[in-house]
Amino acid sequence: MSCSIRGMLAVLALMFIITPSLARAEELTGTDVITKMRLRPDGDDRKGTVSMTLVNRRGAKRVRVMEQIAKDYGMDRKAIIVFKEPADVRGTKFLSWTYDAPGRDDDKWLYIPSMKKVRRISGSANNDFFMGSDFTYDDIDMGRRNVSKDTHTYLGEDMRGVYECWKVESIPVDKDDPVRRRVLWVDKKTCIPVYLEYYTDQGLSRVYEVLELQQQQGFWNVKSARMRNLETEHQTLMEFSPFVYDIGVDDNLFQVAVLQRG
Amino acid sequence: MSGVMCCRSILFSVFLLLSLLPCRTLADTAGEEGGSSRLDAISDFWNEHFSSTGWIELVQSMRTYAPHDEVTSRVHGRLEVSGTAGTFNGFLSLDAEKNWTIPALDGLSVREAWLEHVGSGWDIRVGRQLIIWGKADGVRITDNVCPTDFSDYLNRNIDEMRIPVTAAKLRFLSNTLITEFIWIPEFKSAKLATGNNPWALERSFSSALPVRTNSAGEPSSWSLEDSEFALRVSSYMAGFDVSLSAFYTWDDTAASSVSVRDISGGRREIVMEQDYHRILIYGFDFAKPWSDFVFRGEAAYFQGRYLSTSTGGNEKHDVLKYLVGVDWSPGGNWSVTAQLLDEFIMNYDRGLVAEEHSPQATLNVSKNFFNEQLTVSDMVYVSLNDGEFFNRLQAAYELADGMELTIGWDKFYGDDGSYGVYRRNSQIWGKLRFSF
Repeated sequence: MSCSIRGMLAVLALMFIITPSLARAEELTGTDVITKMRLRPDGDDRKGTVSMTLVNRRGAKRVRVMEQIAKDYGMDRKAIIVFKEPADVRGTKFLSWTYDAPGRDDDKWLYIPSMKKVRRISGSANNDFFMGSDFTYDDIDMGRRNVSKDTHTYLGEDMRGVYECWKVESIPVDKDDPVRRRVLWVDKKTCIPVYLEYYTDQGLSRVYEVLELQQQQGFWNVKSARMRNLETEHQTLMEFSPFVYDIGVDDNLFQVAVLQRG
Repeated sequence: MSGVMCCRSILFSVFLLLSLLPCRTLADTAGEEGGSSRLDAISDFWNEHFSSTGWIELVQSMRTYAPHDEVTSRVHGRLEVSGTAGTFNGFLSLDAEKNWTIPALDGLSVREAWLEHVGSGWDIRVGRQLIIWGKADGVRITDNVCPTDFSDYLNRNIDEMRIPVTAAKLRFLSNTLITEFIWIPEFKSAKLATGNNPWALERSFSSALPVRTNSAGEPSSWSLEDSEFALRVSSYMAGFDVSLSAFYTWDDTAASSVSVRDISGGRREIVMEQDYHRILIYGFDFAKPWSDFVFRGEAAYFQGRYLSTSTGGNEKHDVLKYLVGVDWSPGGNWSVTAQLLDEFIMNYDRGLVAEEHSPQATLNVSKNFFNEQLTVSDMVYVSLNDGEFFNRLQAAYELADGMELTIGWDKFYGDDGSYGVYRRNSQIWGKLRFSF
């Protein structure tokens, strides 16, 4: 069953990748662009190291390093993040089962080595900031937000640095979402969002920009990106090591029991 | 908090750091001194199979009552080394402590040392280890596998109050169930604060008669008959976690009975007998997330517990401990945890020292500031029978990666109940922690 769903998704993805050259830009809708972004190929599973450098307004830096392994189950995803640095959080493990279905809360568990215990944490707090960074839990899987969570409007084509982009405005359906609208620049070639503006009631609050893309095993992904919080003048630089794709990650890795192992 | 105290703490922590760091930096040193292929090989081997971490903390406090002396003054360090080779994992945790208020805690010790083998659908861990059950926060309901160390009582986090046990833990893992068997061949009793320890509770006898303590001795170690056994079945599903457990164990705290006896020459003495008793504990816990909340619950039924009577003896009763709690993440970097718990004595007898119900409430409110660089929290434990409470207000500031300064105020309120008895240990304190 999952194979057939995956097959259908692959065909859909292929259609969306092929169609840009056939379709005229004016026929595109915002939903089309966001769907292309959502379905861009990135393997069935992937593993790599992510480094976050947190920089405050005075320029003081703090560094968080983590190893991430993720596997897709149709449009859902299971992931485990193991924190490597700083030393006081080393060995902390975060397991998440994220669901694409709107309204369904994710399942999340945290293993803290000093407590030697797995703790269930709320699955709905996706607007909370991750590890003191300027990325929210929702931002961590950039570009994987469910398409139906927002109303999308196509704003045309625009150059953003070296990237030729589609520009889209996305307004959350959920009126309680603290982000009132997002404006995205999606690279036409890779379908990766390379620039993103977040607006709250106070106006433009955060800006995300890709600094460099990389290609591995035929898959494009982000090599480095930056999120600037304009309200706090704090920023986070995120750097991705080369990711390894389709390594056949064992399903059992994403079980709570594994978090407690040595 | 005198300058002399601080200086000696700092000097001692530097000494500890220098002792612990070589293990951590072995690989780096080997690399730097390079040129030697042997050192490079050692470095590569270390990096491939081992990792290490640790911390050193200085804690100094000042009593808020006269004579404003220290309740806590210690330097404590820990080094943890993990190793992996194929399907085997190993772990070693070493402690070093210099304690100026409780000298009995001074010294070097092995906290944990275990070896683990991971099979297909099962794993086994053998050695000295911490085994922690349950969903409660800061209190122990089903979490009874490791005995409690009351030596430094509320000066330590509950994670530091557990005494590791020598055990074999075998787990069978499926997609939905974890079945865990535990065998503990070596008995360990709870550690109580005694002597000049600021957390020691004096047992006073109104009589001028001499007191003699008769300890029946601890259950024998490494005998199957006196071993402890546990079984736990857990399930972590989408939207719900649940566990059931049974633990055939010894009560970690000896039951005491007091009597007056005649001795030679027409004199009399008070005799305090101490015995350890077998108990069976059935446990249940669950966690259920919903929106911004996680609801948690635990219950433990203790079959055959010996409880003290007001006449100096003890009686056997079954006891039910239970807890309901909720974690709330409202956003804005706030976090709130509230719990209600109770200890209920079955077939209650008015002659018992403990009350039939001992309800308590806990509340923990915390907020992060400056991208989690500063965390301010307040935690309170309230005994609902007598209104006594313990409150800890603290602020933790991350000075740099791996270096944190925490200042806090502990307040015990009450007369002679569960918290009031420590009222003279109310203190302000500071803790500097360096993680490496």
